[in-house]
Amino acid sequence: MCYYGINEITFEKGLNIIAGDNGYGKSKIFDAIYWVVYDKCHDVNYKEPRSTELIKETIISDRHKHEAEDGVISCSVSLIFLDEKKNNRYTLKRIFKGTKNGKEFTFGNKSKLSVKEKVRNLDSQFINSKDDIDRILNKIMPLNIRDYMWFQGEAIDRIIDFKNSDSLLKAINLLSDISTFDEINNIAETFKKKTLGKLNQKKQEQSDDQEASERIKNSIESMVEKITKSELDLADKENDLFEHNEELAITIEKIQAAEEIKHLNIETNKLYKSIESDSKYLETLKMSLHQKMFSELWILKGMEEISEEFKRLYKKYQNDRSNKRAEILSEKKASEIVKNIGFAKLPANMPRANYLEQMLEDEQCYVCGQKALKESEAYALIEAHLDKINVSEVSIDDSEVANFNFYDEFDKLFTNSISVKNKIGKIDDNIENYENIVSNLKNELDQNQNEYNRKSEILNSLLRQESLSVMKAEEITEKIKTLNTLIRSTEKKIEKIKYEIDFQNDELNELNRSLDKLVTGDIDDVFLKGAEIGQKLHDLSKSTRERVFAELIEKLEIQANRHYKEMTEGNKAARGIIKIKKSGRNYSPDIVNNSGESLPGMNTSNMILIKLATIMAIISARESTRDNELYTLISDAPLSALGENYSLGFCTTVSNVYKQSIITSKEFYVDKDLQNTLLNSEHINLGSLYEITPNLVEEERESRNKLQTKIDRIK
Amino acid sequence: MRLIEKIKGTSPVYRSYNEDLIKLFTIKQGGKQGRSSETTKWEEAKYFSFVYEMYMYAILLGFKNNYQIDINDGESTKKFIEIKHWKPEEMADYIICAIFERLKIDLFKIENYDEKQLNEFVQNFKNEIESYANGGFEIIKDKRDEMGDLFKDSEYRFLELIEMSIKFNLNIIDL
Repeated sequence: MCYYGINEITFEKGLNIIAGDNGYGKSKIFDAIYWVVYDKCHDVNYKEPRSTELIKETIISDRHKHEAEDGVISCSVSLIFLDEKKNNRYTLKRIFKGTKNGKEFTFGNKSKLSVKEKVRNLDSQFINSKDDIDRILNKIMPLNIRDYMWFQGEAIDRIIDFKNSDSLLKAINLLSDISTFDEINNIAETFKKKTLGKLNQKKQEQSDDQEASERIKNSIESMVEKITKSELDLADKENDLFEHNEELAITIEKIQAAEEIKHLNIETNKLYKSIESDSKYLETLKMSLHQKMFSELWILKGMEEISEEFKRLYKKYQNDRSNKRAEILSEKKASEIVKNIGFAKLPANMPRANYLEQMLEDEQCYVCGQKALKESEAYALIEAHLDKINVSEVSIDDSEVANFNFYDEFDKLFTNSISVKNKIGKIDDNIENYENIVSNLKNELDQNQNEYNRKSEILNSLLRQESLSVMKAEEITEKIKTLNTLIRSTEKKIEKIKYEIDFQNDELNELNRSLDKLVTGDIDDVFLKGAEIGQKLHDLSKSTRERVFAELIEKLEIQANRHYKEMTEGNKAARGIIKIKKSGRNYSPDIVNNSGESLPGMNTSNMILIKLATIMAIISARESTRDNELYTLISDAPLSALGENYSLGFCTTVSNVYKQSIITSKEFYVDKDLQNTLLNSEHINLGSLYEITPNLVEEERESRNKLQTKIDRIK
Repeated sequence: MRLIEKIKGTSPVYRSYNEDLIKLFTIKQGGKQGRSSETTKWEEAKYFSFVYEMYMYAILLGFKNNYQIDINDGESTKKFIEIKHWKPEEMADYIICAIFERLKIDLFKIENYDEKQLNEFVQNFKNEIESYANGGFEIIKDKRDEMGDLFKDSEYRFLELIEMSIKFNLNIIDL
């Protein structure tokens, strides 16, 4: 706990507010009051109050545990209650002790409660008897109304659970006088049975066939029991039928939304699959890029010139080699020709074959410098020389040309470079093609993703609005079928029970007539009148109870609407009026329009307001008691469950319904404008306003050894 | 004796200090018992399947930018697979053409070398390859340092780098 040292808070008449931010210790004040009365503290981990035995030392301030010297350490809370009208004063003090030894703590299991009572002007005295203590605790907060007067904000939903139609009836029964009428009704019922029993007994006594009368009397009793049972069965089934019809109406209301949800769900699933498959394809494409950099030679992009340059080297090499070879050949041939044939008009060092070819091409002899036109003698002579060389069988060894012969290897490199160059020429197109595919795919993905997001948003908002899940939406058509079947079968059962009751009543009448027939002489009027009065009294008590209940419901509606109107004044979104509807044997609050038709699409804040308005209506409508005067409404963060515009309306209503109320609130701490409005409001009966703050800034609060909560009274 | 065969029989080296860079972009072979799928490779943002792929890339990058860094004697180096195993072979052969071209060598003249001269030539040829590769590695390293994590954010990064390298001025490549 964060409260250290002695802290005192005085709660005044009217509305008392403890304001503080999250984690500042608001709930701990609520806990402290609860702890004194019930020996339990709300445990956030369990979301319920747990006893001191289970929570032990967590109840003691960390700072106290850290700073206290070895020996006994303790914490205590005292509550002083005043009943001003009677001038009574009750002081309750709960204490929890343990011992400290260095860093070790030992705690007992039990806390101790002491109660002091001061009645009128008498001296105060300690109360020791458990019964007396319970009497006083019950005075402070009776158990039957505790849940409606003393609650955690987050527990409002549970107090009146709309799904559990019993809960409002339970609240009405607990908080109204209707139970008195139930008791009267029971008495009338018993009286009726007794008077009827006596009449039948008398009839039996005056029977001329005692045995037969006894048998008939027993049959009558058994038949009455049967009829009572059948009537209960009928009420049960009628209740079931009502609930099924209600559920069907709600389900049918949702069918249009369900159809849209189903449709949207199919579309979003389709888009999701398309996105998934496109994403996979895109990833595959991305992954293939680095393969293509090699397999399709993309990293050679723009490097065609290597091929060109190498071609130049290679051609030169070819020429050099060829020339060298020709030179050698020519030399060899020349000497062969000179030796074997001889030519008068060409020198011994006869030109090599490639020169001779050039001479023919140019039609010029480069030995003598004369023209050698085609079909001339000179031309024919050069041709003859060339033929001689070409047909020569003179061979040249590679080693004569060069030390090594790398021709094949260079040729292979050259051939490869030509092929690579061709491929490089296509790289730009290939990359562009690849980029187009990727870019189109990305565009398609973006479009699908946007469409998916848009449709998912509509779907989710529809699911939230209709409180449906996709699965439920899909089940709705099925549910309607099931409900219709259920309704038909329940209707048949009702028909059957009604038929049985009619039959049983006929039987009963027949039995009564048979019993009457056996009677001899006149039955004493006392018995006849007694049975008649018993029946009338029973009918009267029943109709009175129904009338009183109807009046109570009407009054509740008026009060609930008054509170609802007050609380929703600050919010234009709130609409409709509260109607307490009969659901079979039970009742539940609903919001309807002026024509009495249910308004769909209520939000959570609205629902909670209706519940709060109904609870307050039950309390304020209970005129025969002084609950709202005697008892204090204590609620931890009730505003947290409401919309921000409802805070002031809630405070107005609470301060007018309850003589004293204590609530904790974050809203009036964080929003100083709201706090100012509260302080200056003419409609809110504000008793006190406290602000609680920790003594350390957030960064320093991690170690709780120096933590202490300060309480400042603002009003 | 076959010259290209001899060249392809050599194993070029890279400077040891480039090893981290190579690891960063190359899938470690033999890891994951050969089960490394394309997806895994991509997820790990590895752009090259083999060290020789990144090496060829670096040669071409250095070559295109005419940026060579010689490996000094005594400098710590890492040797890897011989050129004859580089794939695709047509790319490896094209790189050899490129080196011949850049050496401005007279091919016929080589055929007239004696064995010693030829061996020296092969060694020089290998050195030339290495100096381009290490120049390329330096360009990648500079660009990566400059861009930080952004370097890996595009699947086109290496392609862009080689496409734009024409603008490279020893230090700056605008991507």
